[in-house]
Amino acid sequence: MDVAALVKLALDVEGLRAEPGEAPRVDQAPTKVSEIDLNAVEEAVSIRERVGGSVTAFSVLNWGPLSRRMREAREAAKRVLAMGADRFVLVADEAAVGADTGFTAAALAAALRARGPFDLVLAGEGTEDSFGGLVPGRLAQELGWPYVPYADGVEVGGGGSVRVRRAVGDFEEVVEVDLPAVISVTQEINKPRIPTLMQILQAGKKPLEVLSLSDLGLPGPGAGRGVRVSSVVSPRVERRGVVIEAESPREAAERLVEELRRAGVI
Amino acid sequence: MVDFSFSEEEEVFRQSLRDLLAEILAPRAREIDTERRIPDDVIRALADNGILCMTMKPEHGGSGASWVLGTIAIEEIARADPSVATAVFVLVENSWGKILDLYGRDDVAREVLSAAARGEGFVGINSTEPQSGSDVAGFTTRAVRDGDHWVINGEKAFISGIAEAQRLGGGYITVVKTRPEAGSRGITLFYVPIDAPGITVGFYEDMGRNGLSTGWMKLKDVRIPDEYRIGEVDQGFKLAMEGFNRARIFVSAGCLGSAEAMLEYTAEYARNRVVFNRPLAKFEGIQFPLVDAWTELEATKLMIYKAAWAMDQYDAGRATLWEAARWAAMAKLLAPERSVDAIKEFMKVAGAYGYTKDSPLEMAFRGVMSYFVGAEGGQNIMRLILARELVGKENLPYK
Repeated sequence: MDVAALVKLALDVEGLRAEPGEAPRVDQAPTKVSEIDLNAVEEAVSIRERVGGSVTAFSVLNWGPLSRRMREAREAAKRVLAMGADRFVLVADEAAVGADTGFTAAALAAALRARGPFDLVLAGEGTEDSFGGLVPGRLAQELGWPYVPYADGVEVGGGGSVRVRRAVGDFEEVVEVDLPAVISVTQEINKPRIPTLMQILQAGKKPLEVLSLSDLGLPGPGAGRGVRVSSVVSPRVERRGVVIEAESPREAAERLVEELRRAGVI
Repeated sequence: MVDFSFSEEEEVFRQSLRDLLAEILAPRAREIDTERRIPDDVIRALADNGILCMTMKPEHGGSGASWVLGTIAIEEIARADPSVATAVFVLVENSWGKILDLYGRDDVAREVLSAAARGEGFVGINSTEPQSGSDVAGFTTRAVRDGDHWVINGEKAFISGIAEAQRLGGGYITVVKTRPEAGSRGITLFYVPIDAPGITVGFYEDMGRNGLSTGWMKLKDVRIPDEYRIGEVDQGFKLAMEGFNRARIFVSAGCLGSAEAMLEYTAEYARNRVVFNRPLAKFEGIQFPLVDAWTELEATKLMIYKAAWAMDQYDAGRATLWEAARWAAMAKLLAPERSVDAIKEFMKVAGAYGYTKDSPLEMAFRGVMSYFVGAEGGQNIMRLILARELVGKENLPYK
């Protein structure tokens, strides 16, 4: 089975600095592979280990500046290749920086068509920086394939379909979907492997292909901004510094509840 | 042009190893110190991920990893276990095993090192003697040829990993005199299995890095086949010096990693502890020493990685061992002292809490002190090595 895994180079939110009331300094934050996308890669590699085939990772570079992000992207690609992907296709183009989910999905669809065919596309349910969760669904629409979101189990049988388990609220749903299909996975589906030293050293020999938008026949600058982000502001957090003094834990708890009510929190 | 960046491979390795160690080692650090033992499952996980003997050739069970990659590994392991016990276990094998890897007989190197790489053996260094440590030429342990064997008699001291070698199997790169009258020109290296008949061992109770044992070894008529000789007869001094130089870089990385972890711990502590209605970190008397320590550690880090890079240049045939040795000596001169100084400052920031075993600071302090007082050549030995170049051999104080 030839599987594609979608990998986003997401902002590392732990490295995101922001003053209250101001925009976070996105350009200064480092990026890394979005954690849930590592679950998608893990699932793709384990499917290949079970039934054979190949794993190709695809990524569209959304964050700039490209001069800096390319290095981070190459590191991310190396980690994914070390985990077991066979090759990595990176779409990197200044025009794709800041692209909305619709354009990202179109770019991914073009790259998948150019390097396919594939039987299955796996992606994380959302990426840890923006967590829109829209790209897998929009990609399925671009490709005209069925889409199953939020999988926590994928069972590959012999035929042209896969069984997908989804935790939906209080119950579990199992669906069967014809291939080719797009499936988004949750973090519960598996535990991404940590590559060994030898796998990291061998990853250097695997192909990393960098494509521009023109390589994919996609429009140039100005495209891909159907949705514009008007502002991103870090919330103001202020400490009130209320100290509760009481004779007993019970009294302290009662006063705490009273304070929380007064503050309108509960 | 100078490029200070790590390669993509090195960055991915560091991050992957950090992720692994956060899972398998960091939560066990205090247990390792109090139980005085690195758990078998930790050793197995390090083996499974290719960390043990990573610098050995692939045909001897390693990955042929560069010295820079090895240095990253040791730094990260010491960050996760700041007592440096686990880092020392790994670094001793990676540096002294390399001497067997490069200069031992191929079949012996394959058998011994591949077992160690699987975590089914320990390879250490058996050099210091009760009366003589850095004065390698003054050793009295002696090997005498007897047909196709050598018979070794003598005593070695302050040996890392004796209990581990007994538990896992393995043995020691052992530095002995084969021509006593010839000083440093009469030294030969042998691989000596821990279970060779005629060996008796005992232990010291160290103040720190408790997870790895330190002991002594008496050798009485220990017969070793000539196949276990490493390098040429009487030519062992240069090989021993190469091993020390390799180990010094890793040892420095161990001290650095421990101190770096403690810097992060202390900065977090200072941000969270509130005194006089404000975080401790708000006080300049707290933040300035932390920043000074950070700067000193970063400077030390540059020196350590320069030394590791220089060792890779030597391994690639682009530099002499001395060129690497110079940076290794400077790194070893800086790292233990800067790390101990830094951790002392961190303990002051954490106050009485930093003096307790509820904080990792005291564990890191005890561990790093082992390299402050000596091991892989004492601090003044580093100064002598460097003085020899700066002011000339004729001005050495012992000549």
